[in-house]
Amino acid sequence: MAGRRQVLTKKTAPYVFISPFFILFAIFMVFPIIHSLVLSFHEVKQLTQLNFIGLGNYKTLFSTPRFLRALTNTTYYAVGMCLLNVCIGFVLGLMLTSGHVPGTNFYRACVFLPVLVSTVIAGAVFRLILVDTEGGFLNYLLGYFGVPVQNWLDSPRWALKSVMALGFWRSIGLSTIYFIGGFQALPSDVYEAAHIDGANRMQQLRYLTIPLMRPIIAFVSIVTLIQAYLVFTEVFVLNPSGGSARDTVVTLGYYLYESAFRFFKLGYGASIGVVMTLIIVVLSILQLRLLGVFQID
Amino acid sequence: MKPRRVYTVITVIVLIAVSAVMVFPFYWMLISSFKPIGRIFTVPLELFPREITLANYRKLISQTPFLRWYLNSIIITAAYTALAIFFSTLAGFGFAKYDFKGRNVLLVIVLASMMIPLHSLVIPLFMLLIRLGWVNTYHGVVLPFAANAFGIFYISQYLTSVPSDLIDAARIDGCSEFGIYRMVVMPLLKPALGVLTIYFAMTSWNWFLWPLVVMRDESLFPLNVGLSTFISDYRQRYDELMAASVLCVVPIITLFLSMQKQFVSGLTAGSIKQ
Repeated sequence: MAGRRQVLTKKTAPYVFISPFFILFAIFMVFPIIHSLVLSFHEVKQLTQLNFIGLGNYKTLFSTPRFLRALTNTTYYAVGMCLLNVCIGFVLGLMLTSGHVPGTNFYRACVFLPVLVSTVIAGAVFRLILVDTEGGFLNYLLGYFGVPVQNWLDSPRWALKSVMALGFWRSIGLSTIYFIGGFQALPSDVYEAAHIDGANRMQQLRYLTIPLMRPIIAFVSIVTLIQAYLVFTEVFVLNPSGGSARDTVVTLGYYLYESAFRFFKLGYGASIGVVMTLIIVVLSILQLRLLGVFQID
Repeated sequence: MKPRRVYTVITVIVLIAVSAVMVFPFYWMLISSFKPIGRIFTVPLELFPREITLANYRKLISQTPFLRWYLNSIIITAAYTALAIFFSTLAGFGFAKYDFKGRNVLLVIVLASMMIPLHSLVIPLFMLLIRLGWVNTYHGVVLPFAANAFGIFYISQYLTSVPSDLIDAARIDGCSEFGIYRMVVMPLLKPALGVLTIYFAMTSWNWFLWPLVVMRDESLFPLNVGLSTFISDYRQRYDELMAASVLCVVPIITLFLSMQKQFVSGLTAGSIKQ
C-alpha cells in the first residue's frame, strides 16, 4: 500500500487515470484509422496479402454506378431525415409545450417510445405492416380509400421511402425531446412584451420563436444529418429478399458492408470508409462551428 | 379566447393521430405474436385477434436459440457498460480535477475522436481481431469500443461543476489518489452515472453492425444479429420474430416507464456524440 501511494502521486495520478483510454484508443482507433487509409490504396487478397494499387480503389469507386447510387441515395435519405426531423420535431415540440393541452405527458411518452426499440425489431414490425399483399396493414388500410396494393419494400418508387419511414419512426422521439427542451427554456418576458405590443401568434412564431430556437434547430439538423449518413441497419433489415439490396435502396454504409464482408474486397471497402469518414468529419466540424463546442478552457 | 380554444382542439387531434401512428407498430407486434402463423397475413385482416395462441412463444423458446441470444446480449451489454463506466469515470476524473502538462491537447484528442464513425474502423478492426484471434469472442465485441470519448467528456463536464473541497480534504487526510476516486468521486458522480449507464446500455443493446461482423457462430449472436437471421432466411419467420420482439421490448418499456427522467437524459445525452 505504501509503495502504491508513492507511484500514484498528485502529479502522476492523472496520467495513470487517463491511460486506459489512450491505450485502447491507440490500439483500436488510431492504428485502425491509419491502417484503413493504407488499405484503401491496396488490393487485399486472402485477408492478409496487400497489393499496392495507388488510387485504384478510388478510381473504381467513382466509376461504379452502384457506389454513385449509394452516394445519392444516402444524401437523399440524410437530407430527407433532416428536414422531417426538424420540421415535425419543431411542430410536435411546440404542441407538447403549449401548456393548455390535457394529457401532454401521455403524448410525450407515445412519441418517445419508439426510441427504445432496436432497429432490427422495429424493422421486423415495419416489414409486417408493409407486406406487399392485402394482408399487409398499410395496403389493407389504403384499400379502403381505393388505393391499389403497393410493393412498399421493393418498388423503386417506395423502397427508399420505407427505409426513411423506419428511420424517422425511431428518431423523431429524440428530436422532439430536444425541441421540447428548447421551447421550455424560452424567456417568457419577451413574449409578454410582444403580446402587449399586439403581435399575434404567427408574428410571435416568425419573429421570436424561430430566431430564438435557431441553436436547437442547428443542433437537431446536424445530428440527424450525421446519423443518417451512416445508415446501415435499416437497409439491412428492410431488404426484402435477404440477398443484396437493390440499387434503389443501397446506401454507403450498406455498400461498405457488402463489399467488405460479403465479397471480401477489404481494400475497396476501406476506400468507401475513407469517403464516409471525410463526409462525417466535415459535417462534425460544421456542427462544432455552429454550436461553439470547440471552446475548452 | 375563442381562437385559442380552436387551436387547442386542433392540437389535441393532431397529437392523438401522431400518438396512434407512433404506438400502432407496438400494438401490431403484440397481436401478431399471439396469432397463429396462418392468420398473420389473412385477408380480411384481423385487427383484433380472434384466436389467441401461445404457440409462437413456445416455438421460439424451444426451437430457436432465442434464450441463448438473450443471454449473449445481456453479457455484452453488462460487460460493455461496466467497462465503459469504469474508463470514463477514471479518465473524466483525471481530466476534470487535475492540472497536468498536455491536459488540453489530450482533451481535444478525446473530443476529436468522437467524430470518427464506426464505418471507417470496421474493416481494419476486423483484420486486427483475426490476428488477435478474437473473432467470435465477447471481448472482441466489447473491448475495442470500451474507451468511450463521450463518456469521458460527460463525466469531466459534470465534475467541473462539483467543488473540489471534498477531494482536497480527503487528500489532506492521507487518502490515496485511487482512494479519492473510489470513495469520494464515485459517490459524487451518482446522478451522472444513472444517465451514463442508460446511455451505454441502450447503445450496446442496440449494436448491430459490429457484432454482425465479429460473431460468426450462431450460438454467440446477440439478439439483434440473431433475430435478423429470421428475416434473411428463405422463409420469413414472422411468428417467432413477433414473439421475440415482444419479449425484447416489454422489459425495456417497463424500465422506461419506471424511470422516464433518467432514460430521457441518458438517450438525449448520447446524441451529442455524432
